Amino acid sequence: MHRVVSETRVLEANERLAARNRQLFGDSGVFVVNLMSAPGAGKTTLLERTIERLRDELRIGVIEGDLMTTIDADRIGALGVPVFQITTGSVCHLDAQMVGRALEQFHPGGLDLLVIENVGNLVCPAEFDLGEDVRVMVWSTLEGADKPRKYPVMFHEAAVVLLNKIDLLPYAGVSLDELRANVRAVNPAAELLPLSCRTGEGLEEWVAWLKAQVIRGRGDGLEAA
Amino acid sequence: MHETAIARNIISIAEEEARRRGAARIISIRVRLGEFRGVVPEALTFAYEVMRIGTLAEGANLEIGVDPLRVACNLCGEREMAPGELNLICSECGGILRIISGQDLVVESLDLAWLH
Repeated sequence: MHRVVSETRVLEANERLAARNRQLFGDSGVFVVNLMSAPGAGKTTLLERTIERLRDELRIGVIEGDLMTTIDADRIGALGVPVFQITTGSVCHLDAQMVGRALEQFHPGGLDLLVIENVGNLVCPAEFDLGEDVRVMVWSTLEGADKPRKYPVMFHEAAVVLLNKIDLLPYAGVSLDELRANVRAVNPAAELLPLSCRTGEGLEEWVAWLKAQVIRGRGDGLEAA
Repeated sequence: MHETAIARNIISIAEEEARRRGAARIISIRVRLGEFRGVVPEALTFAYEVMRIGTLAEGANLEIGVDPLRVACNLCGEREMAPGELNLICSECGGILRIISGQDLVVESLDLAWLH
């Protein structure tokens, strides 16, 4: 018997494929968002509201990740933007290989913004780099104020946390300040944007943030709308 | 249950190393798992025991060494922190803490056996 030192990162294979995706995104000049949340936090509705506000200014595409069904892809497709569905079967997250395969059929050339809607899950998607530029997380007011402490890895990795369903705050029994403090504890650098996809409150701030990221990512100054 | 994917990756890394060195089988695999990863050691062990069947690691033990979460403040120094108690605002000075360890997920070493 002989002991050999390996010191190999377990997800190195995923990191390699994510780097390949990132290269393709960079070459295509597309800004890529990895959108993550628990099931039911409002990712798809957020996407609908975002697309409605930005589709005249940006060429947007969407990759939908779900365990089953094409319900979400159908909703996004109804808005007239290109959409590709990844059905993972029983896999609880997207990984760089699944996205890489999708990109063979769904080339991002010609897009300004590609949103990859991950499988609804607060644990597993956090582990897998897809090659995105930013991770955006949706957290809704009714999920419980303690979620950042219970799922710190995903909250820690997000560049922005969208606090959705603030119209329901009066029923959540929790203040915006408390929710904000709980995010800040695990991710002091995160941008926290409160909004409601139902009433539209806060959506303009989110859309402005996203547009600024896309413009910065392209580095060429999109024509002012 | 992304532990299945993690277990599959651990086995692939071990098998590749064993083949590259011409070993006949893998006796054990040591993994360093940071506490600040969304990976549960028990779930990883369970997934590993299923996934190793039919591989060079079929008889190999998986030894998981848990690497504690440690944070550092520029002014107040380093400390250990339970992941469920994570607060990156320094309780001493109000500054922002950095995570300095507890995020690894690494195959450290393998014990291999050769036929003689």
